[in-house]
Amino acid sequence: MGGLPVNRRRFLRNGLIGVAGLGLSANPVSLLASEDYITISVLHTNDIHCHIEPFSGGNQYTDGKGGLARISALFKKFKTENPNTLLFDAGDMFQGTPYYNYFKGELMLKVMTAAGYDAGTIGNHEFDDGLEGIFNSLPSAGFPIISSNYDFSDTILNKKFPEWKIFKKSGIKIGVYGLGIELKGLVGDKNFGNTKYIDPLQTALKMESFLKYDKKCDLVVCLSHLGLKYKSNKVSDMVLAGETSLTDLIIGGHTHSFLEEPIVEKNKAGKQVIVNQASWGGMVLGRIDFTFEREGKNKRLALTNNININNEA
Amino acid sequence: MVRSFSYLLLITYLLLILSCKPVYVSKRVDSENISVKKDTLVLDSQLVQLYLPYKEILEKDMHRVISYAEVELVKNKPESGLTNILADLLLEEGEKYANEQNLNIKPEVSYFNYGGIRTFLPQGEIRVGKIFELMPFENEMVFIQLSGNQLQQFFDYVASKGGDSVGGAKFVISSGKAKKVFVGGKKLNTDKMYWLVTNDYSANGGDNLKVFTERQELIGSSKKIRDVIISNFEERHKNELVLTEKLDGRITSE
Repeated sequence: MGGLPVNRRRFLRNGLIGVAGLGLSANPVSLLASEDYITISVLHTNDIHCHIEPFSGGNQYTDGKGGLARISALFKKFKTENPNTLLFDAGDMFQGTPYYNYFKGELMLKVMTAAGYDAGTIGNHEFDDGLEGIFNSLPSAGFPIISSNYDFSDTILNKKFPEWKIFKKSGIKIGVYGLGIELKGLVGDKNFGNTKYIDPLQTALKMESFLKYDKKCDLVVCLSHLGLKYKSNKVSDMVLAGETSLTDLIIGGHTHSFLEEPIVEKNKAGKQVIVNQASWGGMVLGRIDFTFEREGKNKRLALTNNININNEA
Repeated sequence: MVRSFSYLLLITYLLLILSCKPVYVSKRVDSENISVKKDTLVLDSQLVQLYLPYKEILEKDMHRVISYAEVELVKNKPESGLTNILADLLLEEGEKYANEQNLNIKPEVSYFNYGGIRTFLPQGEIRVGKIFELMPFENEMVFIQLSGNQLQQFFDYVASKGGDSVGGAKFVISSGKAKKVFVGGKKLNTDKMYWLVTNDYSANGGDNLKVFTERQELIGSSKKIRDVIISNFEERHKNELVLTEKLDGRITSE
């Protein structure tokens, strides 16, 4: 992993035991060598907007960057190093390059499937060719598109999207739910038809409790297309971070936010939650590694996401 | 000897695994945002193989040169080379279409919503593919009729956003409102009816442009905005006209 391109790494750790005290190296993959540690690596993108290939066209800021072809190579490399690696997307997969205009969502979902995505969620641009556009492209998706707050029961998309999904990696359960933005005003009325929008915050509270307590997930991840933050009090990932208490990671989209590093916020319970977004067009790949220690005895310790920020990296 | 000891270890380990369900406790989190750049890694050849046949179909059409830009044209507020050129061509093409179709209307204002302009135009040759990037949406050109009062409300909306892609009008942004409004060189007349050419997304109130939904009338065109841009650029190119940056102070801030 030494040769990996790394912007900046930030180490977050449990407040009880310091990294130095554990005698661990800064390399989470090396932890795998020991059966006592498991690292779940969550990689994520958002707002790919059909950027299958890297950007081109003469803009010095974007040329040569991004693209699914490179995200895919990166993901496969990480997954070889650590099989407990997941790849998620936070929506707006469609629309943005001629690939979409010519081949619609079908090609995009086919390429994302080949890249190995584990799950995605629905962005507003997924509706650009109406409900039918989504319907027609879905057979090409070899991964679940998770949506917890759109009610499609009165549309042709009824039962097409799971409300949540659990991924099991080396005994660790990762529960995922998905939140979409309010479509009214953003998407033409006829394009979303009878899709009902359910309050994202209420949905998040319901989902995190269900995944944590009923399904006993070790990690709860939210794929959100709500947007990072607004000047108004409109619901956003930052609002969600402060109002939820069991979600460990909010993977965002929509606002195309470029973050130097993931944001660590205090949730409603005073514990820490990570909020991240990965620019757009595949120009950034977010990576959050959760390392778990195996407890020898049968007693089940309450999992904590009580993470202290440590900037020593 | 060493091997049998290893086996013993392995068996013990397996027994341990089988005897109790392991419990894991979250210990730490490492996070980073990785820049996906040229030097990051090569492309995934498996993925390239998958999209190559599609790319070939695209490229045939996309590489056609349809215009030439004297300078790089980017979007900016309150006005910019790109927002102005797009609004002006929409007004021009709208008027042309209205005449061809004998609609008996003359659009006096055009609006090409800022958020719908998805990229810039580089200096030099402009190809079809660039227009697809610029205007990826399948939006249609439409005409809406607004009262003078509604037109003022629309300009106030633009003013509240700090400027936008507007053609045929001139105004000053003052305390978030549009002041000193001129349409076609004349002072805005609140008693008059005006025709405006835009896209169906905006006409249907996209991006909370509520006043457009309260319009008097709407006429569609079944012409895609993208095709309108392409044909306008091709026409100029035929006449050996290049794209230039035209900043005329149509929207200024006070």
